[in-house]
Amino acid sequence: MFDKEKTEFLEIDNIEKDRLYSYFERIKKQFNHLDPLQIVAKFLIITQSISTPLEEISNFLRYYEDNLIEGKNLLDFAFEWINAQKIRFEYKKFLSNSQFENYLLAIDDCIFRFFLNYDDHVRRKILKEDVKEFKISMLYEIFFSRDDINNFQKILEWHKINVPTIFYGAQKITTNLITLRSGVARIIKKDFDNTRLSSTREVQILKEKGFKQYFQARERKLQFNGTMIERFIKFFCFSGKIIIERELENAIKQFLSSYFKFGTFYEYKDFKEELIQSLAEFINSGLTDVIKKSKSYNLNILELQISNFLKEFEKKNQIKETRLDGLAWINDLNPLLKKYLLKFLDETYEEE
Amino acid sequence: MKSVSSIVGLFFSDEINLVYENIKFSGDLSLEKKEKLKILPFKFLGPLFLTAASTKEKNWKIEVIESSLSQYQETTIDVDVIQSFFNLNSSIESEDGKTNLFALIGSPYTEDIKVIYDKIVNYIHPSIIQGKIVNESFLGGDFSFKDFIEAELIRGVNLIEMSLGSSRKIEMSLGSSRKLYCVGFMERKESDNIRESYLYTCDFDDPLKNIYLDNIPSYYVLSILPDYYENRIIETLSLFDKTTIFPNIRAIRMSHEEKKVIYLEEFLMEKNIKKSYGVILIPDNKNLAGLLQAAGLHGGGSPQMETMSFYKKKLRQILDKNKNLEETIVEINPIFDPFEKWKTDTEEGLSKIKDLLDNNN
Repeated sequence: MFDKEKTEFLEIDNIEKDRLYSYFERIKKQFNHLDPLQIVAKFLIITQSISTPLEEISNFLRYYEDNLIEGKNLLDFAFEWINAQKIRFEYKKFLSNSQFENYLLAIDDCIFRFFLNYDDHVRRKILKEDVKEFKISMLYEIFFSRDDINNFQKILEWHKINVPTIFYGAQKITTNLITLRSGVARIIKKDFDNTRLSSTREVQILKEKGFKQYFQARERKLQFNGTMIERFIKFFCFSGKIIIERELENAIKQFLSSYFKFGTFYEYKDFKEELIQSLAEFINSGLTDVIKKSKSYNLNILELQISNFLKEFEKKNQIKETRLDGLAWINDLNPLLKKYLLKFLDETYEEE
Repeated sequence: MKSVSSIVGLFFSDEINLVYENIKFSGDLSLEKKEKLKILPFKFLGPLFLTAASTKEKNWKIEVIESSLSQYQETTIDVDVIQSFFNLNSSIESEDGKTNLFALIGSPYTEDIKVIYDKIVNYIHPSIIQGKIVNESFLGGDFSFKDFIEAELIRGVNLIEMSLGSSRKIEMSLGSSRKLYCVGFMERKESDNIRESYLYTCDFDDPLKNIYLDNIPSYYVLSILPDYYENRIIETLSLFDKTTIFPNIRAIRMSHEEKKVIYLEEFLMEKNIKKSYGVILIPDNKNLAGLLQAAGLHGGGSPQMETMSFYKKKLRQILDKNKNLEETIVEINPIFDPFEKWKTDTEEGLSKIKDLLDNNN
C-alpha cells in the first residue's frame, strides 16, 4: 500500500539548471538561423519530446513574454515548464499508487500535495502580480499536461470564459486556489480515469492469460502461518502433557500476526473460513498418528470443531459484520484461540 | 471490542457567527443523538467567539486542541477503538469579515496532525472563501451560500478523512529547537467527588505580569480552556457512544499575528483521581528580551527559556513523584509564587483572575 507519510512536497528549484543551460547553448549554436524566441521553443521541443509544431510553441511563449517579472526571461520560463513536468511525474506516480474513491477527491488531494507550492512559486517568482487569472490557469493546463498544444486559441477561450479575475476596488482579490483548480482539474480527472482503466485492464489481462500462479501466490500469502502451533502440539504429544501457557500464547500470536496487520481493516466473514482451515491444518499435522486414530481426528472433523467453537463467540459478540483493525483482531482472537486449544488438548488427552 | 470508527466534523462559522456543519461518523446514530449533535458546533466554537469578543484588539485564534484518549478499564471486550481526538481551527480575515473553519477529529490512530492542519489552513478554508467570491461573481443573485457551504463541507470532510491513518510524524510544535518561556502553570484534579483547578503565575502587581499579558489572550481564557474543551470532548465521545474512554488534553495552540501560545499538559490517573499539570508557554520573541531584562532587575532570578521536551519532562517528574510541585514551579520560572494559587474552577476565582491578573495595570 502506498505510504502517505512518505509523500513530501516537491522542491521547486530541483532541476539541474546548469546542465540544461549548457544544453540550451548547444541548441542555440545548432539552430542559429532561428530567432531567440524560436530557439527557446526548439529547446523545449527537444528536451521535452513535444511534437507540437514550433510555431504553436512560439505563439505560447510570445503570449506570456510580457507577463514575466523583471529579471526573468523566456529561458527561465522554459525551465519552469520542465520543472512542472518533473512535478507531474511525481504526481502521476502518487496517483497510480493511491486509491481515491472518486476523481473529485483525487483532484483536491493532488492539488494540495503537488500543485499548491508550485502555484505559490510561480506567482511569487515568475509572473507579474497583475497577470489575469485565466492566463495563469491556462499556463498550468499547458505546463502540467502531456498533451500537445494543438489548438492554443481554443484552450485560451475556455480559460477566458471560466476563470475570472475579481477586483475589490482597485485591489485584485486572491482566488489562486480556484485558478489552480481550473488549470489542473481536467488533467487530474483524465489521469485518474486512465489509472483506473489501466489497473482494471491489468487484472483482466492476468485473468485472461490464465496466470494462475499469480493468484495462487497471492492467496498463499494471505494464509495464516501456524508452524508454532503445530510445534506446540507436537511438543505436547511427546512431553507428557506439560502446557507452558506463555508458549501457547506466543504460538497463537504468531499464527494471528502472520495474517493480520496493524493499520489494515478486516471483516470477520472475509477471513473466518481461512482461519478455520489453517488452524485445523496445523493442528492436524501436529498430532501423532496414534492420537488421530484413537480420536478419529481428521481435517474435516477439526474444522467442524473449530467452526462450532467460533459460533459461540460470533453469537455473543454479534461479530459477523464487524470490521476491525488487524491489531484489534489479534487482541480479540488470541484469548479465544487459547481457550479453544486448551480445551482441545484437555479433551484429546483426558482418557490417557 | 467495538468496531473501529472515526469521527470527522467540520464546522464553518461566518462573520455573523452563523454555523454550518457536516459531521461524518462511521457508525449509526439515534435521532435523539442527531439532534444533540446539532448543538455541538456552537459549543466547540464558543471559545473562538469568546476570544475574539473579549480581546478585540488582539484577536487571538485557537489553532489546535489535541487530546489523547485513555481507557477506563484496561481489559474489556467492549473497548472503544479510538486513540486520538483533536480539534483544529483555521480563522481567516477577509473582505467579508472573520470566518472560522473548525474540525473535530476522532480516530483509531495517532494521527499526523500537522498534515491535516495544513490541509485545513492552506487548502480547505481558503477554497471556501475564494469559491464563495468566484461563485458570487458568476451567479450574482442566484448564488445560494447555504448550498455552496454544505457541498464544500462535505468535500472538506472527505479530504480530511482520507488523510486519516497516517501515523504521527512530528509534534505540532513551533520547531523542535525553539525555546519557550513559561508564563503560567496549571494544576487540575478531577474525580467523581473532586474537581479542583488552579493557576500559578507571578504576583498580580509584578511588572512582568503586563508583559506576560501582552503575549497571551488573557489569563481568564487560558484558565478555562483545558477544562472546557476536555468536557466538550467527553460530551462528544458519549454522543458517539464512546463511553469506555476519557480524554486528556495534551496541547492547545493559539496565535495572534506573530504571537503564539502553547498550553502543554501531562496527566496521571491515581486512585481514580485524574491529576493534570500544564504549562502556558510563549515562544522566544522580540518582546521577551525586555522581559528577561526586567526579570533581572526584579531580583527573583533569571527566568529560563527551555524547549518543549524540558517542560514535558518537568510535568512528568511532578506526576511521577520524582519532584516536588512547588520546587518544580520555581525551577520552571523563579518569578512564580508556588504558594499563591489562583482558583480557576469557580466563578469567584475566575472573576478574581479577570479583575487582578487580566487587568493591565
